[in-house]
Amino acid sequence: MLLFSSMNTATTLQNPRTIEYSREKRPGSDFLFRLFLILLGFLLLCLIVLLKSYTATDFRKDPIILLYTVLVTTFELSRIMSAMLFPSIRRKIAAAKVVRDNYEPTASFVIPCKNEGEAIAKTIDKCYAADYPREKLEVIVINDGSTDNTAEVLERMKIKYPDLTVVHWKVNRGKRHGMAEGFKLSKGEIIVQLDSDSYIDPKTFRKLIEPFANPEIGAVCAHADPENADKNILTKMQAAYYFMSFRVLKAAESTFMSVFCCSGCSSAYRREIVVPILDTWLKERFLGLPVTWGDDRALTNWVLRQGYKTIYTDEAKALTICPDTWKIFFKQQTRWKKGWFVNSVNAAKFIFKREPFVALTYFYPLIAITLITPFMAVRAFVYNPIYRDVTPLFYVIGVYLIACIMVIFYRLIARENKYWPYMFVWSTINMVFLSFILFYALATIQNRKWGTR
Amino acid sequence: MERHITKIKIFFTVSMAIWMVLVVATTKNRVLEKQVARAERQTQYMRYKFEFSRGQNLPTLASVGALIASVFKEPESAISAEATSSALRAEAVPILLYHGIVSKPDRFSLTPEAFKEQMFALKREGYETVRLDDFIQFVRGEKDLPEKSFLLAFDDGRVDSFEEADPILQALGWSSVMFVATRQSFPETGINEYYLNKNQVADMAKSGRWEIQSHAVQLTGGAIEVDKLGNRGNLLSNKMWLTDLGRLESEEEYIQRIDNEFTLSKQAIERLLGTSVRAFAYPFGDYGQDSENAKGLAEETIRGAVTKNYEVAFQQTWDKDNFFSENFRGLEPDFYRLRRVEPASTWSGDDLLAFLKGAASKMLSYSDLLTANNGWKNPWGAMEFNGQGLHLMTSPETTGSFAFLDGTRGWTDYLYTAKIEKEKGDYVTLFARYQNDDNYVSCTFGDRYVKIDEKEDGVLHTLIEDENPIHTPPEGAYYGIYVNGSEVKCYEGGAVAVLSFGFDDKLSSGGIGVRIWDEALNNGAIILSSLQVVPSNEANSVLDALPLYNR
Repeated sequence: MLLFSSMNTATTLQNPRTIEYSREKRPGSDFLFRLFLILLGFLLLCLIVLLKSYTATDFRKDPIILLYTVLVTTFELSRIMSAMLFPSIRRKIAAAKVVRDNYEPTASFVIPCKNEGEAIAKTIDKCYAADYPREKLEVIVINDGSTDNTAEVLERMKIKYPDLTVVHWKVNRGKRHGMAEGFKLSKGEIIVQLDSDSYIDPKTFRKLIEPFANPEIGAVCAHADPENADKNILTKMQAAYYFMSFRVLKAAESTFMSVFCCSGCSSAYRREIVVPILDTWLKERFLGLPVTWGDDRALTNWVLRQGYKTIYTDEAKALTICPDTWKIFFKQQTRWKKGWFVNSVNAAKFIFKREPFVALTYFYPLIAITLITPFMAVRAFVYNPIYRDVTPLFYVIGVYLIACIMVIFYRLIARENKYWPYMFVWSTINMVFLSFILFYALATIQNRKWGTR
Repeated sequence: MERHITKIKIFFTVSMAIWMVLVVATTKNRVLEKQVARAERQTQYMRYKFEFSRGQNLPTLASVGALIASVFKEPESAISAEATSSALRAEAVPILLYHGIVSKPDRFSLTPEAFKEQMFALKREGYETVRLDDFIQFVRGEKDLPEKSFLLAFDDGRVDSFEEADPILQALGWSSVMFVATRQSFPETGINEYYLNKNQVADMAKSGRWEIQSHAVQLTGGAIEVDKLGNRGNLLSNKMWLTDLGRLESEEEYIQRIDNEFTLSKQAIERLLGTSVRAFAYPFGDYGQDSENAKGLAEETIRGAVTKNYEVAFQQTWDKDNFFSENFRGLEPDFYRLRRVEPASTWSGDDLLAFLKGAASKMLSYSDLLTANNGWKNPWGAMEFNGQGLHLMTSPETTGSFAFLDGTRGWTDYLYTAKIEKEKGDYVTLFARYQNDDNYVSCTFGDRYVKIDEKEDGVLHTLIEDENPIHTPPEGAYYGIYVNGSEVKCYEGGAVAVLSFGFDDKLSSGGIGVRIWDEALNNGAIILSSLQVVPSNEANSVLDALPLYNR
């Protein structure tokens, strides 16, 4: 078993791209395809410059608006730019000496769950199937007051995997408490935190652990895709969004080794960093009430705050379930926005001291832009047409041009990913609706209920 | 690792900085905007070209082919006089003046659609633009121009009018004169989006479709403070209130400022384009006549400065003033008061054509039943065409009313007769050799007396005044005025009521008009009908047909 897995490791190392997304096209056509995309990208850049230059006439009297549009465009492009630089830093991490020396620390899966009788068995199976020495793995499941057959399923799994640790709580105490409990019980050097409906592709598990060979790295976020992507237009759209937010936005953050959110569905933490701050993390409050969302962001914040690096790797693949109804989707979005806001306020306090470059080039602009964008959308769609007789056409063109650039990059790095057309759907919904959810989220920030459960 | 990240940070920062610089630079210099604007104008041009040709004939395959070919060809330059030398020669040429072309029309602007409609209508009717040089030679009497020539002009150097008009000019093969205020267009610092800038002006001149002339420097903007209360007046015709010093500028200061307005604007354009600036357009059409605080001095100063620097200068005419609309070949006494007409923003193409038809120079013999207005202007009092004839009326605040027939400035020796029905009021006056309010000959018919007046350069002489020997019926009688050389006769019916020889031969040509007058306010009305004007050598045949009234 050990022999087998180490052989497997060797092959993986020789060929670090042994991931699901294999390229089956002929190299020739692939080259032409990429050339075409790159040329198209340049064309679009020219169009964007042209658009800015053209609309600048209207903005002559509003230099602040002009500054805003230039900054937003630059910001979006800077994300793509950093995402393009991401492979370089990933190679650098993978090339570390300890990784080559077959770095294999012990690892613990921590899975808090509530009423997940259907999904949990598969999640546990996948944990144990990980391409990793079995004796170095540990799985801890916290049954957080489930009222369905979860307890029963877990007991069955305990027979199948005698070393499975299961904690049953009669009363629901919340995800954050479940995570903390699991972290405390764990013994592995690395803690892999999973949502009950997500799992890591066993073949790529090792890639999630490897970066920890670098002692500066405190947390690693895996690439997540929705497993139920093909269900309907909403899930397809989210599949595109997941790809963008992981492979572009998180990758971009990872280029400077400061990922601000190692997602709750599939991230790994170095135990020695996380355990000491667990109690503080549990007691976090915002405006006097305990924080019930954004646990993953909060935890990542703590890692960054202690001066460790956080990265994303596209080589470790996780699959999760995304909302398939609009209602749940909006609830989830609202929760995420709340989490984003609360934890961004927290991070804003320390990030400049820790990572001044990231703070100035990314973090503070991001906060500013996220907060201003809805106002600009209202200005473009309501104020300008009614009071100034200015068409929102150019605003819309600008948004879609940026979306096009994103899609071109999307196609360049993952030609086989078929969900790219839905980026435009996402852009549309984001432009007319999602950016406003932030305000709804802020208005209801004192409502600490979970939402999707 | 650290070093690698630092390298990435540097690369990232530099590349994003380059991008920002690129965007800001193109935005600031509007390099691309200029390209876009040019491309837009080019598209517009093709559209207009197509629209115009489609309106003219049914599109056949051949015409579409010719159209496509023509689009790629360089546009022909504006028509030259030689090209249509076979056509009738113009006696007078109008100048059509526009200010702005914007989607929301205001006092000074019309919509692109309205402008297009007016221009297309002119082209279809056979009108062609002329160059400034042709026009100057024409008014000097040195050059013939074909009938239906006109000079197109824009005041103020506005970007909107250039951008909207240029494709139309290109499509129609026309040219225009743009009068720019050099301070607004070539400011020392900054840029005003509203006005054409140096580059645009240079490009316009290069296109061959635009001649750039002066609309003053307008250093102070169009209006200045003229007293300490902050009242405002036109910049050229008023002494400026110097707020810092608490006084009006002195005569010397005023003269110097006005001289600069004329001299420096000419120099600025000539320096930029290397071509000579020959024409000046008075801002607000004010050559001193609208002065608030420097009457006399203003007209004199402006005249001095304009004649020193320019060959011609343009004022503006409105429908309520007493100027002929067009500029007559060889008959203009004052090249610094040439007249321009601003078509109303509400005019359709047909309205403009109707106006030009009325304003156009008229040939003798001329007759009109006066059931519709074919070019009568009414500077004073009120006028309407009620179906029976020209109904000339006083208005509540006038003691009289006056109308003259546009386009008749070039007439010399003729008999002018009309049937007049007196509704109320004392005197009826017929005008001949009417040049403007200051130069004319007239016959005044009262109940008791008739007289002949001559007004020259504003000085009125009564040549003869006599008891009226003839009793005309008020319900409708023929009156006439006959001018031939320096001989003038006043007719009531077919008979001379009074006559005179030897009025000033400076009044050798001019048009016709009619006036009523009464001592009391708003007590006058006549209906003028059966108008007939014939050359003096044909006068007898007309007179023979007129009735004779009781002596």
